Amino acid sequence: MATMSTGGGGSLIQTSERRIVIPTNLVTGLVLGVAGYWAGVNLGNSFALNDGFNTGVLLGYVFASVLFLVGIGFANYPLARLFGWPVTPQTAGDEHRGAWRYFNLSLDHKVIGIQYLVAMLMAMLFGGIGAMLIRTNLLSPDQSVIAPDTYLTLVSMHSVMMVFVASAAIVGPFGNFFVPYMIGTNRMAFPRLEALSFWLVPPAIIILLVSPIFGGFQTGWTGYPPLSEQAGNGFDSYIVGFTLIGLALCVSGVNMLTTIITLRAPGMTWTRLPIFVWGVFSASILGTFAAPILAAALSMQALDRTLNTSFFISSNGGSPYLWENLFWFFGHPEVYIFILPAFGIVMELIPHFARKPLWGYRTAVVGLLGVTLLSWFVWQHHLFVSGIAPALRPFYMFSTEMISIPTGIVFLVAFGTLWRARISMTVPMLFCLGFLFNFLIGGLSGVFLSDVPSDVTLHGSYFSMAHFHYTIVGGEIFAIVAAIYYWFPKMTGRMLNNTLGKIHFWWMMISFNLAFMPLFAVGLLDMPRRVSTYLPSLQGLNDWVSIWAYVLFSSMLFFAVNVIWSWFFNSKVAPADPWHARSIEWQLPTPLPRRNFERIPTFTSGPYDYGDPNAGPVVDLGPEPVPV
Amino acid sequence: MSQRAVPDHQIVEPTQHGFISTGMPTLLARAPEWAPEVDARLARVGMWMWIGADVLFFVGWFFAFFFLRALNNNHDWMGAGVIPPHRGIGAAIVLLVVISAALYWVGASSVAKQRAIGRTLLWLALVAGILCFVVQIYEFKNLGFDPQLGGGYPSVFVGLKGAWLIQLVGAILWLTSNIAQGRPGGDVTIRPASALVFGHFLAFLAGIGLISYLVLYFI
Repeated sequence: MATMSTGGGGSLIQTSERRIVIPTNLVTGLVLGVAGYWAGVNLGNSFALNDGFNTGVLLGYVFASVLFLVGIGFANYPLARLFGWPVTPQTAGDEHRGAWRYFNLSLDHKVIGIQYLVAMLMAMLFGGIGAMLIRTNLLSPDQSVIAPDTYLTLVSMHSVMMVFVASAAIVGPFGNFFVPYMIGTNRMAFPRLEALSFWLVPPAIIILLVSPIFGGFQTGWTGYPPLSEQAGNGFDSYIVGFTLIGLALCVSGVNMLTTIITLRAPGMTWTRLPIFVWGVFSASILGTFAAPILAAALSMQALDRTLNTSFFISSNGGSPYLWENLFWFFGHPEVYIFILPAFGIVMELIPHFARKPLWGYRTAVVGLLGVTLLSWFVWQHHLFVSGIAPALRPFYMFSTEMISIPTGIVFLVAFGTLWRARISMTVPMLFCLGFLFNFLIGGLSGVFLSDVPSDVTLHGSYFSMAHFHYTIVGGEIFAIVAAIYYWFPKMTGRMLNNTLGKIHFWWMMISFNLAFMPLFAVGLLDMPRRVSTYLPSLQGLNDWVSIWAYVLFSSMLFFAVNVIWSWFFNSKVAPADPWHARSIEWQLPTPLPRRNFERIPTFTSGPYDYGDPNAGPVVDLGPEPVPV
Repeated sequence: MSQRAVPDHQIVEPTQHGFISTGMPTLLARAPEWAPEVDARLARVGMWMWIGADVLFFVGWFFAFFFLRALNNNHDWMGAGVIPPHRGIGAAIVLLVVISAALYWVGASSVAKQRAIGRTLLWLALVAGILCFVVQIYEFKNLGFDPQLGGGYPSVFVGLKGAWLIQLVGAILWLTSNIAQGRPGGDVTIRPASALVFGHFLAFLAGIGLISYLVLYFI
């Protein structure tokens, strides 16, 4: 009888009777992806629509993405079901594939976490190189380095790439890797969806990177019509790439929410849930329910560019303002998808290094959920200068300012935990403190952008740009780096070098602030965003910023050297609990066994009960499993 | 740690109930994580999450409908020469998808116990779904307007119905796979609860079809 491979990798159909054997792996995926692109382009062009070949390019990207996933192995399970062959829900096939498993479909949440981590670091590198090119152009006030349209493409690609990174760089690597441990389960709810959420990312990145071949796109990350309607085939990369990332956010969210709601181990009540899991949970709510709006809006863009419909064309009954509403209804929750898990990381790490319980745990949860709720009611503040009905302005100004309350609660919790604590200034803790400093500046500057009078002046300036870089780079990226230093020993079995880490922190912290703080001044001096030229009087400030941006970029070299050396050339295995932390992942051996728990553990107390002499162990991992 | 004497696969409510925890199930210590009961619970929660996400997807399309209709830019919401599609065809599409969802629901509920009847009903649900697809394609082929000539209504009509149709095709394929797995020892008979959950999605699609019908043909 036929046997099926329904897990990761392997062959599409392994059978003694039906000799249909199609190996599914990364190579097959790439080959099918290229073939799919060719087929899609030819099919789209055969329709001969008057669409500037957008149909061909869009179908090429779609076919390439779908066939890439088929080649990786995502069609195995549905095809097996469809043909009526036996299917098994168990994950299988990861044990004996060594490092190669990281390049193939794996249903192991630990493998997916590592895959995400590496992919996100690569994408961050691409986005960072884009930023360096932008700053190089801005060394001179004229257009002497890069042509204006190329500059706009650079800005657009940098922003979209970094949005991809910021959306997935915490929930992807750390959420997938650690949430199952933290809630005490051996599995994710939907391992295939989890794997799919990762494997949608590489095609999205590649499709975005090939955009310049088709002329790039000059719309920025917001893709506003009529610019998008007028853009060449390069904009098709934006549509498909963003759709893939939106889909990844959505399926990742469904998987994560279901896992956290359903698979918590005995004793892991909602009020014992580690605060990092709450951060992931909150971000997953937003990812699950906000991304579909973006998918609908991008579908409309695609229809306008291929079937010549008129969703966003004013003269034909459409409206660009429709896009702005739909985009920001996704886009503002999106920025909290960035930051909520970062809050989770910082509040997770601080108690361990302050050796104190998390001050106001329940208040922190309320803060996270408050941000999650309010983030749905603020999107119109992005439209203060785009024709919003004047009567609506006060409401959205008020709702945007309201969101600073739950955000402030998170800060209160962090500072309350640090108050009179015996702080260990480890590298992860330094980055957490850096986060608090930077995000405070980012948050306070955001208040000016929520107020209608000041936003009308500052919205299109570098002030706004400095604000969101303080929240995303100074906030989220610092939290990500803190998480890498903290969890790297558990993820890879190797410690990162402490001295290099401290150099990295100070280098990054100082250069970041010296690069981005002057941008507030540049903005107040009326330098507009997304323009490749500026007043000669602003050259001094711009050159200062560019030089410190290079220094900031170079700080990541210390990080890269540290990671590569520690991971691949350091043979010393990290201790099981190098931070003397209470949380469950540190109670497990290093390197982690393939099966998380021999039996489902029982949680007996919270993870932050430091300083309490009566606090019991956080978890009962129990004796050997009972034979069945 | 004391071992609790409970059968494998058993699922109980957590012992410590907080306000939010009430009703949230937690696996008991020895429950294997891949048991059918576990999958059933995961499928239910996951499906409701997925449907919730899909609701927002269609909210985007309905928002476009009401926004562009209210704006009526350039008086081109429904320009000259745009004839709304025949209501009878729209009604037939909705009727067929509702029948398909109902037949699937009854069929999936009974397939584990009365396999022959259950599978027959699933086949009938598939036929109704395919007919629905065919009628929808017929409608697309015989629209009283050309979306390429502009207009808000034609754009939303083609977009909303197209997005719905793509999901219907996916649902038909999954329904087919459930029929294929309805044999003895197949996935549907081993995990009937998970198969039944798919009926929620079909019912959701039927609901969206009905709302779309009311919006696109009557407002």
